[in-house]
Amino acid sequence: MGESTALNLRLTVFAALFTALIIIGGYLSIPLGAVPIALADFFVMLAGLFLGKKWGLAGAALYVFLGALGLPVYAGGKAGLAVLFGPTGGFLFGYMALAFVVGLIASQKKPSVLRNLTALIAGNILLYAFGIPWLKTVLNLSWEAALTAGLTPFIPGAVIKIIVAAAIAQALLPRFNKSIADNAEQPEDEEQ
Amino acid sequence: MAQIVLFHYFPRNSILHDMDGRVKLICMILFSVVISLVQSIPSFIILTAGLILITLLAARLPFITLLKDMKYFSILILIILLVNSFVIPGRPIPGFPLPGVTIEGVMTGLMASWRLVLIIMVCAIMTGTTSLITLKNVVEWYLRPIPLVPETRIATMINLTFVFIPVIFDTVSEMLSAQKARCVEGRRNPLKRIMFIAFPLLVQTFRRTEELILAMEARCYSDDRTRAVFATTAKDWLILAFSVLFLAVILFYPF
Repeated sequence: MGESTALNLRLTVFAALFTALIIIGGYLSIPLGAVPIALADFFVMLAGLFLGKKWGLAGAALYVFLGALGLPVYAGGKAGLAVLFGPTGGFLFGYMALAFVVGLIASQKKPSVLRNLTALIAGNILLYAFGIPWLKTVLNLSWEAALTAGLTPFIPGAVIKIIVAAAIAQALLPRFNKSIADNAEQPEDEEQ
Repeated sequence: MAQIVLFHYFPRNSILHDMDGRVKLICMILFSVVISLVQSIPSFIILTAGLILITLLAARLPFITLLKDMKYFSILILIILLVNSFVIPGRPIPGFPLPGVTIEGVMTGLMASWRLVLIIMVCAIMTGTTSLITLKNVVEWYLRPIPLVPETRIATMINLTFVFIPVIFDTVSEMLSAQKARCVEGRRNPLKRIMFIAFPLLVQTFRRTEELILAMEARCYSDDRTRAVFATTAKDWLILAFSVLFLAVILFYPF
C-alpha cells in the first residue's frame, strides 16, 4: 500500500515516459498560420502537471542532459553542447524551470482548473524569461528584435498549448493519480 | 523515424567499436567543443576531411547511407543559411539578383550550417560505434563520483526513455492513420488538432507504461544492480592523445 520504493519506481518510469514524449514533441508540429507549433514545451508543461515538481523537473532535466551528451533529442534532431549554449539554449534551461514551477504551483491532490492555469501561465512566463534574455545576449540583438524573434510568433501557440494542457490535466489527472498511488485513497471525481 | 539510420548503432569490428566508451565520450565532447569554436574555412575543411576519414577507416560506418540520411537535416541547414544571408548586415553581393543578401551573411550562414553538419557527423560516429547499453553504462560511470546523484536511477531512466521512443512513434503513426481514415485532417482549428493528438497519445502511452511498471515490479526491479566493468587499454590513451593533438592544431594553428 503505497510504500515509497514502489511509488518511486512508478514515478521513475513515468518521468522517463515524459522525457520520451518531450523528445517526440520536438519532431511533431502542428501548423498555425505561418508558424508551426512544436509540442516539446507542451509535454514539458504536462510533465509538471502530472508528475509534480520533483519528477517533472527530473523528466525535463533528463531531456536536456541527453541532448548535451550528443544524442539527437532537441527539436529537429539537433544535439550537443553547441545547441545547449547556442541562441536557443535559454529555452532548454527554461524547460527545467517550466516543469518545476508548474509542478510547484499545481501540485496537489485534487486538480483545479484555475490553479493549473495559474501554474501554466507562471511557468510559461518563466520559460520566456530564461529564453529571451539569453537569445538577446548570444545573438547581440536589441530587446525589440529579441522579442520579435523569440516571443511574438509563439504567443498564440503558447496560449493554445496552455488551454489544451489544462483541459487534458482535468480529464486525465484523476485517473493518473489513482494509478500512481495504486490504492483506494484517491476519491474519484471525474464528473468535475 | 524508424527508417532513419543516421543515429543507429552499427555492429562492426573496428578501432572505434573496440574503444573504451569512457574515453570515446571525452573525445566526442572535445570534437564538439572545437567544432563550435573554429572560425576559418581551412580549419573547417581539415575537420571535415578528418571526420570523413574517421567514419570510413576508424569506425567503418556506411558513409554513403549516412550521407543520404543527411537529407532529413537539409531543410534545417537551408533555413540557417537563408536566415543568416538576409539578417546579417554587410556588403551586398555584386550582380546578385535578390536584394538584401550580403556577403557577410552568406559566409556566416555557410559556417553555421557547416558547423551543424560536422556536429551531426560527430554524433553519428559516436552513436554508430557505441551501443545504447554501453553509452548508458558510461554515463552511469561518470555520474558515480558525484554526490547526491542517483546514477543507477538516471541510467534506468535513460534506458526507459529509449524504450519509449519507438513505442510512442508506433502509437502516433497508428493514431494518425486512424484519424486520417476519419478525415480529422480537414479540421483547421489548432486547439482541436492538438487535443486530437495529445489526448489519445497520453491515454495509450499511459496504458503501456502501466504494463511496463507491472512487468518491472513482477521482476522485483531495484536499484541494486551489477555494475558494468570497463577496461582501458594503451590504444584508448593513444587515440585520446591523437585527438587532443589534432584538435589543438586545428584550434591554435593560424590558418
